Amino acid sequence: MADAVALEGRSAGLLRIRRPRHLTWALWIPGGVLILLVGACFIGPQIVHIPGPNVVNLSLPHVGLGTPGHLLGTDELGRDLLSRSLYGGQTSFEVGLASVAIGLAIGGLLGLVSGFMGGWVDSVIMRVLDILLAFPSLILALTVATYLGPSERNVIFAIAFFTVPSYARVARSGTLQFKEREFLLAGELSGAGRTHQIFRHVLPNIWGRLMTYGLLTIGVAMIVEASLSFLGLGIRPPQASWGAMIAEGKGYLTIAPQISLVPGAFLFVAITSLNMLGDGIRARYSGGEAW
Amino acid sequence: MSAVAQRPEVAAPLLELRGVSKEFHVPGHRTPLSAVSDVSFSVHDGETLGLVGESGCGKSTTARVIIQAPKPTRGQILLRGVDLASLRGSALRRARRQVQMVFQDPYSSLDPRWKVRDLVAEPLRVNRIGTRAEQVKRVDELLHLVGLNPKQYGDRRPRNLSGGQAQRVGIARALALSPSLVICDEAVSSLDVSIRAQILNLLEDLRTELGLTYLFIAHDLTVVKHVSDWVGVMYLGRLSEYGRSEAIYRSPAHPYTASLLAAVSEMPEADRPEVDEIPSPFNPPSGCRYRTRCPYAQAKCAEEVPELREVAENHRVACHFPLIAH
Repeated sequence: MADAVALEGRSAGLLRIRRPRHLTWALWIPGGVLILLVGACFIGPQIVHIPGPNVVNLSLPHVGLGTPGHLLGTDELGRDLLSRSLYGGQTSFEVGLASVAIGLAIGGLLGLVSGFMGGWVDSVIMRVLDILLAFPSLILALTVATYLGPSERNVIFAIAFFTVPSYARVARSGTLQFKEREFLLAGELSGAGRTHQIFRHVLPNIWGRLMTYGLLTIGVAMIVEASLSFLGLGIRPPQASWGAMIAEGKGYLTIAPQISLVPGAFLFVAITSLNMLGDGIRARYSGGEAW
Repeated sequence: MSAVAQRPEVAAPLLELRGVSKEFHVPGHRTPLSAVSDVSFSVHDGETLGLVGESGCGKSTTARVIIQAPKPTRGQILLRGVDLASLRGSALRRARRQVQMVFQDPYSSLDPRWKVRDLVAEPLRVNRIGTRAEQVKRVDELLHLVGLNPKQYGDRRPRNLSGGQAQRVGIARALALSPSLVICDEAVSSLDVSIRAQILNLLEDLRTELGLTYLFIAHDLTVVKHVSDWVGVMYLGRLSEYGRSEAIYRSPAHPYTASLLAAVSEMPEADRPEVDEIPSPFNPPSGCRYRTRCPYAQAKCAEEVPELREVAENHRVACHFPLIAH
């Protein structure tokens, strides 16, 4: 695939045609939805007057959608579901982004070093990560979360921990692909050290596929956060997160389904958009060299 | 080890290979792959040695072994008398700067994400040679030297260069550290014929201008003919003939060289070899490795490995029955 991209690039060079860089609908639609959603969660509560997420109003428990003052209804304690969903979204996005960033930084670095150095360094790093990878990821996150105790920060660590091996694998396979390219030998001949080779040559060339993979796993991280929170091992009440809110509503599904369904819908839209965006980017920049 | 190609001059060679072998252990094969076997030759300052042979004959491995990537299994590689194979780490890195390489595929040897200017400057930057301003000036000089206008090409990325232009960038990079030896590993093989001549002329001009020494590796004898003072012919990991370029092209002494020079057509039909496949390097033929394809092979060829022997002044051949009289 890399060859095809290189050939395409070459002919493009001769004809002075640049690859069209504008975004197509496959990126626009999910991208737009995500921007709206993130904007609504982080800026929305400041510009639109809505009740606080933890304001209890026992006189108005689980009212339905469209109630004046409570557009998306309230939960069993009379807390505004729109407000809680937006603040919960902040938590979900924070956990998703932060855990991916940490996992990507650690896993990416391990994969780069492992692939570039080869030999026993590679064997040791990859075998240790294989052991981590062999555990079912949710169980692993559960274990870590249980051990560290429920809090937003610990959820981030737990998710980052179990995603490290998969980022390392992506980084390592990319590194191996570029390791045989002659520009690394050329660099070595001119006296470049390992750090220079890894960070100036290999990393920029695999950056694109790491980012794409990271984007795809933000959705997974958000689902894991929701699952952990649903099980009571994630976000601690009264702090809102989509997963925690779905859990809170599970006892009221027959009389007030909106308590679970409203955050569920938010989660669904966010995950679907993230996956579509990741797929769109991957399809567009497959091969990794175009970045 | 006796196959050291000695020259009448007393001056020490710039590069000397002494009995260099490289074996690879390939999973699934019990015997190692013998890529280079007991190769010795030397290259003197200001001269070009052309190393030719079919693909798989070990000429590129020889080049890689010289720059210690990978290190040879046996033998010495002396660069101005210092054995590179014995150096490690930063000492090796420093010594190796004198040897630079121009690669076959210029696109593969240039990082696709870097601009031309940065690619040429990289050797200067990693070695902290000169100030930033001096580096910029030197890069412009180097680009002019290889016939590229820095203003026009400096900010391009490799994918926006033609094959010939990219190879010029590769050459500029190789020259950045003012090396004493430049190894051209099939440097023009992937280029169009018209561009090939331009690059060969450029290399020739650079040699006279900068006093460079080349190790020129090619599978095509005609390419080597124009640039080489000395020619080494390799077959299945061994050096089969070595000598002054004129002598080898005028009167090839090894049947293999003769066949490469298309002298085969002058052979009687019945004499031509029937098997025209290169034997496996995992299990090379005993004695002379060429004997399975050689029309003149006799019993002795299977029993005894022919040593490189002098058949004329500056002309050595590893053949029991060389084509020219002693």
